[in-house]
Amino acid sequence: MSLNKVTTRQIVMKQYQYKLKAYYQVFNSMVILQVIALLFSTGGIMFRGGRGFGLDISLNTYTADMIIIFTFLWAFINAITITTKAYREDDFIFVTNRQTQHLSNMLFLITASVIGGVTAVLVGYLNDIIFFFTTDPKTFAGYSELITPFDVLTGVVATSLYVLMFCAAGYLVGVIIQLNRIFTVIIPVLIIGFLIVGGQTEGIPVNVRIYLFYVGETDVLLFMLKSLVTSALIFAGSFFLLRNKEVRV
Amino acid sequence: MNVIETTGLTKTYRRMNAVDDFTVTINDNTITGVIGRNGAGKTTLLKMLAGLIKETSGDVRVFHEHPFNSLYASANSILIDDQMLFPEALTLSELLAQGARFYPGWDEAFAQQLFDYFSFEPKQIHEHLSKGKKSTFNMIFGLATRCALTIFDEPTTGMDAAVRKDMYRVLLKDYLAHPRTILISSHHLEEVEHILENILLIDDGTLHLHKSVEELKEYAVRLTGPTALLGQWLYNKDVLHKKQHSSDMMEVVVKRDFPLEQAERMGFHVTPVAPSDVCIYLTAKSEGGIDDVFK
Repeated sequence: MSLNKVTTRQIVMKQYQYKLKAYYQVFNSMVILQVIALLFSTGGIMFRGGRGFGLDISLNTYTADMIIIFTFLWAFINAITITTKAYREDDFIFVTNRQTQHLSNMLFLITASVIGGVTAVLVGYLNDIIFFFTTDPKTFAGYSELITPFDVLTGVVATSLYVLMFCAAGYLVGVIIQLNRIFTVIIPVLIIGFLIVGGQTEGIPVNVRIYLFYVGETDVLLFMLKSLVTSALIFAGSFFLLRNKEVRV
Repeated sequence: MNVIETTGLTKTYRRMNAVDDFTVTINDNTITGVIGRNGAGKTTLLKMLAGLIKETSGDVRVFHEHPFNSLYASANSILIDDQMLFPEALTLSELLAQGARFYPGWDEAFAQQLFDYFSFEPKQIHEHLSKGKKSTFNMIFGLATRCALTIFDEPTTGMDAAVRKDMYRVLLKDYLAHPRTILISSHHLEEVEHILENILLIDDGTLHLHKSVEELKEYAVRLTGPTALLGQWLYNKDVLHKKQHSSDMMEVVVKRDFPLEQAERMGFHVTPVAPSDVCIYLTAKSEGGIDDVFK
C-alpha cells in the first residue's frame, strides 16, 4: 500500500483544467445567446417617432446594450448551473474536497467572465459594423466618439468585471438553492419584492443607489476595486454556505 | 497500520439512526466484506468513510484524518457505487484520462486492458451505458485508481453472471498483485465469500460482528435430531435458527461454543453452516421465516 500526498494548489489547478474541458457547453450557450442578442440589436433597440409641421421623424438608437445584458444573463444562469448536483458530484469522482472544488469553480467563473466580457465587447463592435454597412450613412444623426484601443481595453475590463459580479451572484443563488429547494421560490419573490419596495422608499431608492454605486463609478481603478471586492465577498459567502454540503445522498 | 478507525460513529436521518454507535478498526491490506440486509446502514457507513457525508456524532478516521473535506483521504480513497455521476461532456476514454490526471497511483495499462476486454468504445458516454455496463466501467475505474482504500458499494448491480464472475476474479488478482485495503458491500455473501478475508456484519446500523471468514465458518453448526431430545439438549445453548422438519425431527443452528463431540454423542447429525447462512440467521428479524407468514 502506498499513500500519496497532494497539495491544494495541485488539485485546484487540475480541477480547473478539467472544468475548462468538461463544462465547454457553457460557451456554446454563450455564443448562441450573443448571436440572438445581435439579431435583436441590428434593427435598433429603441425607436421614437414623431410627426408634425409636415415633417415625419423617426429616430432609431443602435447600441450593444442587448448583447451586454444577454451576456450578464448568461453569466448568472451559467453560475447557477455549475452549483447543481450533477456538476458538484462530478468532482467527487476524482480527488477533491469542498475547498478545492469551490476554488476551481471560482477560477472557472473568472475565466468565463473574461471570455464573456471580451466576446460581448467584440460582438458589440460587430453590431456597429453590420449597422454601418446596412444603413444609409446619410440618415445618421450621429455616432458615439471614435474608439481608441484604450477604450476597447477598458470596455473589456469593465464588462468582464460586471460579468464576474453576475457570475458571483448566480453562484450564490445556486448555492442557496442547493441548501434548500424552497429558495427557488423565495429568491425570485425577494428580488421582485425588493425592486418594488426599494422604489417606494424616501429619497434615492436602494436599488438605484446600488446601481449608482457601480455604474456611476467613473474612475476605472475604483470600479475595479468595487467589483472585485463585491465578487470576492459573494464567493466567500457561497463557500461558507456550502462547506458542509454532503454529496451522493 | 489502521486504515479505518471509527468510534461511536452515528448518522441520523430524520431522527432515525442509519448508523448507530459504530466502533470498528480495519487494518491495511485486507479485503473486508460489509454484509447486511437492505437498509442495515451499509451505504451510509461507506459514504461516511469516503468523506461524502458527515457523521452526526462520534468519530471517523481514515488514514488518521477526518475524511470529510480531507484532500489526503480523497486522494487515497474512492467509493464506487451505482450512483456515481460522471460528467456527460466527457467520453469514456476521456474519463479514464482524467482519472490518470487526478489519481497519483492510476494504472493506465491496467485500465486500458480491462476497457478493451469488456469491449467498451472510447467514444461512448457513461450516461448512455446500460446498467451493467455502467457498473463494470465504475469498477474498472475504481480498481485503476489503485487507491490505498478502495470501497465498492454493491459493485455488481446489473451485471450479468459472467461479467460478475470475471470482475470478482479481476478484483482478487489485482488485490494480490497490489495489496491495499478493500471494502465490498453486498447482500450476496455467497457470491463474494471466496475473495473476502474478513466480514463486517451490520444490522440496524450497529456492528453485529467483525470476524475473519475462517472464524465465521466455525461460528455455528447445524444439528439435526429428534425434536424431543434436541429440544431438551438446547437448554442454555445459543440458538440462531430453528426449523421443524416433521413432527418428530428438528433442525437447529446453534452457536458453536461447546465441544462438537458432545452433540455427536447424543446422536445428532452435525453439519457445518456456510458463512452466508450464519449472516442470514444472525440478522433474521424474527423467529421463523417467510413460511410462517402463510401459516
